[in-house]
Amino acid sequence: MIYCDLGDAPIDLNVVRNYLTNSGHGAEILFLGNIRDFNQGRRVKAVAYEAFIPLAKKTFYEICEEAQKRWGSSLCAVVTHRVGKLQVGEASVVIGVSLPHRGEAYQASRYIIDELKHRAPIWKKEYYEDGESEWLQGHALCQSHS
Amino acid sequence: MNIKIKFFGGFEPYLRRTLCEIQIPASLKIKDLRVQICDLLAGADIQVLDSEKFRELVRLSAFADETQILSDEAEVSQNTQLAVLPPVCGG
Repeated sequence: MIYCDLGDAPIDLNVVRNYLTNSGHGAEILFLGNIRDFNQGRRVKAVAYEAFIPLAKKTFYEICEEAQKRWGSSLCAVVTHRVGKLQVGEASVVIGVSLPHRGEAYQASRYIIDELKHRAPIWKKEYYEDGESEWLQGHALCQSHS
Repeated sequence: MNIKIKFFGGFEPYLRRTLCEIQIPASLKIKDLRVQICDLLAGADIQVLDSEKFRELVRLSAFADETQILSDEAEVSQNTQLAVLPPVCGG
C-alpha cells in the first residue's frame, strides 16, 4: 500500500495511520517534519511551501516504490506534504511506514524523507521576524551547467 | 509557436508574474531555450529583474512537463506547458 498527497490542509495523522494498517507489521514509524523557529541564524515566523504538484506526487510514488523494492513489497508507505504558508510548529511533511520489523522500518522511513528532500519539486520561502523573507537554496534537479 | 512556461520557487523575485506565454522557434531544444530564455521573455514584453541572477538560476534549473524532467536534448513541443524548477528544498 502506497498513498501520497500534497495539499494545503493540516495533515491528519489518523488518516495517515489508516494506510499503514497491516496485521503482519510489527513496526510503524511516523516521521513529522515541523517548522522550526530558527534557521541559519535568523528567527523564523512562518514558511511558505510551493510545489509542482503533479510531478511532486509522481516523485513521491517513485520513491515509495523504490523503498518497496529495497525492503519488501509488503511495505506500507504514506507521504503527505503541505503547500501554502505554515506557522512555526506545524508539520510540513509526514512520512508513514509500516513493515514487519523496526530496523527496516526506520531505514525505509529515512530513505523516503532523504530522497524527497533531494528529488521532489518543492520549494520553501522563510518569513523572518525582522519582516524579510527569502527562498531557500536547495538541491539541483538537473545536471546541466553549460 | 507559443508555449506556456511556469517558473517556480526562487524565480519569484525576478518576475512580475511566474506563468508566462512566450513564442519560440520550431524544433527548439531545452538547451537552447535555457540560453535564450531572457530574450524570449523580452520578446513577450516580460521584464526580468536582475537578469544576471535570473540567468544563473536558469542554469541551475531543470525543465519539466507534468510527468518528467526533460533532457537538454529534448525538443519543446507545441501547446506544451513547461515548468522551470530551481534547486529544490522540500520537507
